[in-house]
Amino acid sequence: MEKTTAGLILHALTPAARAAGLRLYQSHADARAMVPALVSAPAEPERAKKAMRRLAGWMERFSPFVTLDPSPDGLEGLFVDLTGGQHLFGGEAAMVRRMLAALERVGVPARLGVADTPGAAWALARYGVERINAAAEGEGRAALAPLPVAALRLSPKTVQLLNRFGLRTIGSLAGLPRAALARRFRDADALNLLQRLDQALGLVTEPLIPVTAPTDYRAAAVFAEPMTNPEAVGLAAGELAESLALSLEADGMGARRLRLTGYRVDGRMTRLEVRLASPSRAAKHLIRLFRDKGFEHLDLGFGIDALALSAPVTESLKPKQVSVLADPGEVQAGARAALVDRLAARLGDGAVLRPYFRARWKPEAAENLVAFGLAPEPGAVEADLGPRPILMFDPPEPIEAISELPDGAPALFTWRRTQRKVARASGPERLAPEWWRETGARPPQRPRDYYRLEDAEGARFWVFREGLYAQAEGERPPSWWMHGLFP
Amino acid sequence: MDLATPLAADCGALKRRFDMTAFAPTRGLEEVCVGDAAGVAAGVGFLVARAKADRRLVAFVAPRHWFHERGRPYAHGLTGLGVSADRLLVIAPKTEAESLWALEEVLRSGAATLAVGAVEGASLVATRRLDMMAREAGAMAALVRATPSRDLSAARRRWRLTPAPSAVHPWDRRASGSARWRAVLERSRDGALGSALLEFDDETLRLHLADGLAGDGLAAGARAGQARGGRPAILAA
Repeated sequence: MEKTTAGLILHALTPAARAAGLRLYQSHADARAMVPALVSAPAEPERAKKAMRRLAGWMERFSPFVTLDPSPDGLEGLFVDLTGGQHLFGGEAAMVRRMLAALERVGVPARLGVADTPGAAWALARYGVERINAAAEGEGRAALAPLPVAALRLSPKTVQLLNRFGLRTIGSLAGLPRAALARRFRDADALNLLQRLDQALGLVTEPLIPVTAPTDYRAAAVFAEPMTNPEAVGLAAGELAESLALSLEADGMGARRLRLTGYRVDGRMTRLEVRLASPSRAAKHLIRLFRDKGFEHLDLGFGIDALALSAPVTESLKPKQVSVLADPGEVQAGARAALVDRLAARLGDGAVLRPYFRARWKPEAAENLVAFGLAPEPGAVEADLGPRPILMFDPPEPIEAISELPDGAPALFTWRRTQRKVARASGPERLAPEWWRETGARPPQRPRDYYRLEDAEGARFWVFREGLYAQAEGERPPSWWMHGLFP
Repeated sequence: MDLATPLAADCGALKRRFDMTAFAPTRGLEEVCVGDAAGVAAGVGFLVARAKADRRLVAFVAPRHWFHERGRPYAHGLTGLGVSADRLLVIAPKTEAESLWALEEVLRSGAATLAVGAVEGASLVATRRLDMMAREAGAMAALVRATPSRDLSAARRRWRLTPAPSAVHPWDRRASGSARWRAVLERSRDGALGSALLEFDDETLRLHLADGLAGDGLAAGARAGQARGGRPAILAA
């Protein structure tokens, strides 16, 4: 049940409730009057949506092209594009039977409709007589004719209006002249009605956006027995990697990202993903990345009965002439990419880093550490900058500093509970916020004066004073920070 | 037969002299002990300054929290030590065990010329493996430690690095000049021990001696030549 402006209404029904004569969107009060023993629970649309998404992912075992039905809650469904995959399952009819069996096994009550268009399939699935309603190719119109107009995915208001005109089936609607139909419904409903009709009959195409962006490079295998052993999965993945490598090679492409998806017998799926620092299609390298990451991270549950290896992100990879006098630079680049891949596969992208430069005024933002494989190669450092430390504290650490002059270098400072006397100092190097970039930060960013300090022992520090002494009314007094160490 | 003994002894003394060759990049594992938090930069600077100037990577490997506590490598500054930003690789796993694994991988790959690790609890076996892999790959591996390990270590050398007051700045007496470190070789498997005050020349990107060597250091003549303003002993890095 769901709370709406019209009070509580029924949001979804169990088969028993349906048998008792209750209808979807009926008010809760009416339903209670009809069935005093009604058991109801608040609707959880978020959870339902999540479950649907999960199911959509799982259905990718049958086809890489699965779409969530955008119909309102209570009418959830999935579109699965069967095109081109039927032969893998022994024909369309066998494939659909298998689908139903698989769904039943995981406890999802389902009705399937098969037709040339998503609209017709939707209608057949919901209003067909059988649990599987298939319309042969080109017979969509005939199959739709006896179905009620509600099967066209129309608003309840439109359906009511059509019924009032005596148009109860799609067949009677399709027979009418379009101009006459359009006249009867002046507003958006008319457009919607004609569009839905055309979509169902295949006169206009209906774009579907799949839950997972389809990739051209995908290798999948279905097993007779569910697999529970990670090592066996590793072997199967090895074979998939070989065939994926072949299809990548045929197009001169290399994978930048790899996804291994296991379809579990309990209707869930489990995934393992690795990224590559540079495109590769060497099956051995690809599978080694997964091995480093660990096949045991795949949550196999009660076993998986289908496995797919796909390359969602690819890049062109030209075959290279193998030279007798190998170019050391190229060999180095290869070794570097392989190293980064292996490290990132085991430790995660966030652990394998390289510097990345940006034009920012704050030194900690001007140079960031970012994932090695995702960042471009950093260029040369800007030459006319002041001294920069080799180790940077990010974020800066507060210090207590005493300076002889109000806006001079500190003479004494305390950092990490150690007091240090400054023997030598140079600076300041003033870095000021980018006034042209309004960040709206509250409190507003203040300029920094950087000093390079050396204590009596010779340790060299990079400290800054945030804010100026000539402060405006109500501004915080300047504060001192430790930002880095020089060698 | 009588002649052979003093000759052999002399050769040994010659070979085991502590001089600038001690700072040349080596193959194998070294250990660098640094004092407090401020001393870490001296240790890291000392290692990076000694790295070979080839195109191979310079990798920093430490558990994530180390980079938060001790500072993260900053390419703008490291460029000044002769390592360009595209050669830097920072690996920040969660644990020390993963850090050791990553260090091994870096060395095994042959893609790195220097791997600096900050792992406190490396066992004898772990250090021996690191040493072996570094030698095979022709790379230098180094463990930076705040305290010398009480465990046995297979490191070929152990340095103690402390910052020293920098050279006089040519234009500004109040400012820091070229970086100087006091480097003490406390243990070595293949050479003499000793101590030296090193200076890093940020124009030639080379280390040289700022004063004489302790122990069996350089001959007095060499020291005098330097003091007279002659060319300092320069290490080809």
